[in-house]
Amino acid sequence: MSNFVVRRLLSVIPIALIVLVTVFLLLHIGPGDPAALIAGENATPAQIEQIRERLFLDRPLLEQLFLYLSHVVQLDLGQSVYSGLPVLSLIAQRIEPTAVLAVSTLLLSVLIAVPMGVWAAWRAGSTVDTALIVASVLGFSVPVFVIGYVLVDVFALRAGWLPVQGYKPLSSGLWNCFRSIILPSVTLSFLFSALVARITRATMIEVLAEDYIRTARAKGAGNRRILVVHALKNIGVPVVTVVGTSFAALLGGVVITESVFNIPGMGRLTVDAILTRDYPVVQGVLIVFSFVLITVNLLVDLSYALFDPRVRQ
Amino acid sequence: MTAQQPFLSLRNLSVGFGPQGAIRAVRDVSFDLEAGKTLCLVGESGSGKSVTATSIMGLHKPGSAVVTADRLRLDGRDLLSCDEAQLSGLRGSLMAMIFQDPMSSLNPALTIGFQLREALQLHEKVSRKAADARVLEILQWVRIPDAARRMNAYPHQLSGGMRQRIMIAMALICRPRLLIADEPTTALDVTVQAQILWLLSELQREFGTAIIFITHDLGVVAEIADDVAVMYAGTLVERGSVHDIFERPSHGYTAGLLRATAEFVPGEESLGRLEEIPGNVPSFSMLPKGCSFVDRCRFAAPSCHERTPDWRQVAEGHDTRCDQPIDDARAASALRETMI
Ligand SMILES: Nc1ncnc2c1ncn2[C@@H]1O[C@H](COP(=O)(O)OP(=O)(O)OP(=O)(O)O)[C@@H](O)[C@H]1O
Ligand code: SF4
Ligand SMILES: [Mg+2]
Repeated sequence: MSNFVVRRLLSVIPIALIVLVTVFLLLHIGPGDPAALIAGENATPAQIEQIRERLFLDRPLLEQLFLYLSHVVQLDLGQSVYSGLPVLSLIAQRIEPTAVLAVSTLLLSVLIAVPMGVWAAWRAGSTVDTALIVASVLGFSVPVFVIGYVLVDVFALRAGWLPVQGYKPLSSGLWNCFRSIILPSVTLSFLFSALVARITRATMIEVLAEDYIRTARAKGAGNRRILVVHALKNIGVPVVTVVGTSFAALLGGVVITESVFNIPGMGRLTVDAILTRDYPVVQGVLIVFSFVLITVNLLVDLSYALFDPRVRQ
Repeated sequence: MTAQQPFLSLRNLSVGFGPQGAIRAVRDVSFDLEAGKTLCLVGESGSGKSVTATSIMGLHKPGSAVVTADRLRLDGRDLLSCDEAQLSGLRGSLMAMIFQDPMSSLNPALTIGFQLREALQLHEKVSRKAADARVLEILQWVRIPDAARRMNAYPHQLSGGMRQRIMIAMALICRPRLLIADEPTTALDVTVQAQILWLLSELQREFGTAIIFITHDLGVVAEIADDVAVMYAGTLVERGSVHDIFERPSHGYTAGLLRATAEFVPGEESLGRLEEIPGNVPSFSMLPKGCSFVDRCRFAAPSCHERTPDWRQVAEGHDTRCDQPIDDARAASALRETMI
């Protein structure tokens, strides 16, 4: 393994630590007594005391932090204040729809947006190019729930081809799951592919203007060869970067899409937990989302080595 | 072929950029080049040398340039009527080009070996193994040290001089019959430069390659040129054999160019003074009326402001676009003026 890869892998440790400490501190940053906040307005002093003890809020801060970290390391994210269920199993129940939605949106967007961006760049200034720019501005500016309702109206209510809402788990069969996720992920893809197509187009135009593309033409390489062999590898880094850095935005979109389509995923879990001030669940969800983002960024950085030989050393 | 039709023949090549090709970067360039000969294209920076060369290769970015000519023929083919696919077939095999900037002309994401092998395999059906052997051979030929190992290297791992030699190898690997070298040695130190020039002449001897060599360096011109074409402000102002150009420069600009390089002031080495041509190249939109060099010409006559000079023959195979071709008497009198 190269130096770069090892260094990048090691850098995950301090980042993860910072995330955990921040998540821990969330409870203590706000004004007032955290135990009373969690217990709610109508709680008796006894209930507040009970919560204080259960969440170790009566211990010194540093000890609390240490306890918290040691539990998290053992994958113990505490219990929900409301249902009393372990946070980890709550998350486990909800993570599948979210993961399926995020991954299918990602795949769909990249599969659509990269070829579109490349095509538009190749024909920069043409009608195709202009159409793509207009489409991407629309995809970018029309809110997710508007697109969602329009798609549902057309494909589910009028045509009746697809379910209106809800989620069918993978265990109910790949086809069922796929059908239930098409509309939500197409909806969300508008935003994401608009972003990816724009970056792809911009970098492709830049790459096509490079001297080495002229060199390739001077050798006698044809158009397709120039695009696939000489240009594509050079747009890898910027395109993967934008996909990675906008993954956070994608997760934000997932939360909205889940509520539009009534999908019982992490987004709904998060919203419910915030509304009920279920702090352990909020913290658990934050940790999971953060670690997903850390992993995505790690993969993005590692992929640089794949695309750009200059990074490898 | 050679008797009636030169190997490469240009008549009134013009190139425009911008909307409707309104920025006329190159105008009415005409010259011929025989197989096995070297033509040096000289002229100040921005005079249109690279644009002319790029037009012969048909390598302007699609849609960016309007190229017109009464004739643009290479080896009996009309290049202007070729479509992009036909040109692709000729590029790299019949005609090849070495570009001015070696640092950015290689693809950073592909190995040297891949890029060279591709140049060969685009035109010749050879196995991977045979291709590698050819690549190795040409790398050694351009004096890349440790060539076998370098094939797996990426461009950023090589020095500028080495990259330039890779570019040269890439242009030569299919043994093109027309080679356009755009200042191929400017980035190199003097010893490497000498090596490269020697390699090019060897290629020419062996395969009868016609070479268009673009350079600022009149020392190089004296060494390698058969013919010289002088460009000024987007057009050719004088062309002739290297001997004619150096011994009897007839256009005001050529004379100025030679003067700016002390060692070539004909018969006047003893003076030992180097003259700059006063002023700057005019931009295309603000060319003066009459001869485009008139504002800077030490030989300018009143009539030079009136009429744009046409080609006129000074001697067999030596033409100038000057209405007052400089003869020795005028040159001497002008020289006396400056000395006072
Ligand atoms: N793609 C382009 N679009 C617009 N103008 C261009 C383009 N390419 C070249 N030009 C202009 O054409 C003119 C001639 O440029 P060219 O590169 O041929 O000069 P040159 O003689 O090769 O100079 P140098 O010795 O510096 O290489 C310049 O003024 C340049 O700005
Ligand atoms: S035409 Fe006149 S101005 Fe132009 S180069 Fe000749 S002498 Fe000089
Ligand atoms: Mg140039």
